[in-house]
Amino acid sequence: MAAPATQQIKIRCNDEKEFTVDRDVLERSVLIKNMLEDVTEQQDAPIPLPNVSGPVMAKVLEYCTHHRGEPLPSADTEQSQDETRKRTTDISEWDQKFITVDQEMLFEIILAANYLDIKSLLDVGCKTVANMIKGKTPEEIRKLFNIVNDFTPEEEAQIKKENEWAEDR
Amino acid sequence: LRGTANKRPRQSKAVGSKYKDFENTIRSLKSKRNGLAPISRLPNELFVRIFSALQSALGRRKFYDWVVASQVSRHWRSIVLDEPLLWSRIDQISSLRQLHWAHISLERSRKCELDISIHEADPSLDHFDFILAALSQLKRIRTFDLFIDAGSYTPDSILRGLIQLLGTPAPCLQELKLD
Repeated sequence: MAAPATQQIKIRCNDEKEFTVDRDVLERSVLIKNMLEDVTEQQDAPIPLPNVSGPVMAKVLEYCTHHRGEPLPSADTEQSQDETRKRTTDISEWDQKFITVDQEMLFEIILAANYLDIKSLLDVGCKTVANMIKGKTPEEIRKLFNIVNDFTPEEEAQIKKENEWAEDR
Repeated sequence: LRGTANKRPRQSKAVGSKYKDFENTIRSLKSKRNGLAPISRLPNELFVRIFSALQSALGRRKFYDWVVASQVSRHWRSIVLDEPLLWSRIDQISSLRQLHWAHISLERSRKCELDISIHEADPSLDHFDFILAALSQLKRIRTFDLFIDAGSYTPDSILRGLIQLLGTPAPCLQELKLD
């Protein structure tokens, strides 16, 4: 039987930061939802989340609170490539504002969403990075993500060949 | 003098070799530096997810622009080339560029199931060759959506291929649209 929505759950992040959160908010995370389902008795000890830091968890909880009550993706958690493709690329206005953070935080949120198994947040993060890449040249992408060209001359030649063949008329 | 002249090729070879060593060291430092960029914290499967989102974000006309992901760094290229699923969607062959990448996709998707959608096929291009190449992979085609303008010339080989398609086992086929 589902627990009352008001039940409070304590979690502890890898920097010892603790949060006490409504169960239905936390259950946006399939990982935590499964953990809670496995616990039959009321538990006072906080749930340890060794892969998430306090500041990142605070952001994730902001997302989960905003989206509380919305239906979760189907129980069949492993999405097929087909499903991935069919998903729209639109990001809602609120989500867009929420995810407007610096790159460090953006990738931390993506990693946390992946670890905590929050599919919708993972999607928002990945779509955001995809939109950052969209329409850019390799050099612009490198600049954006602070990476440099480390191709060997052979690889450079192969890429050049790919592109020579690929020029639009 | 002759002695010095004799030494030159050897010295030049040694300098060349040292130069190459330096180049390799610099390249390997560049790769290491790339590994420290914030985005490099993401595991490969999340990169694949991002590139897949990029494909969806581009739409049909610019679909193959996603291959830019394979031209950024060695790490990104290896992720893209090692994931046949990213190449399993073949969309549009209405320009030489699209046709080029469609052929590459057919090859790089290896044994993955294919989703092929061909609209606006341009009869002036060798797109019929591609359609035949795709049909030869029927056993791994999952969705096949082919639109050929009724007014355009369609070679017998394509028509024969399509007729043959109706009698060939296609264990993965879930959707077939011929127009």
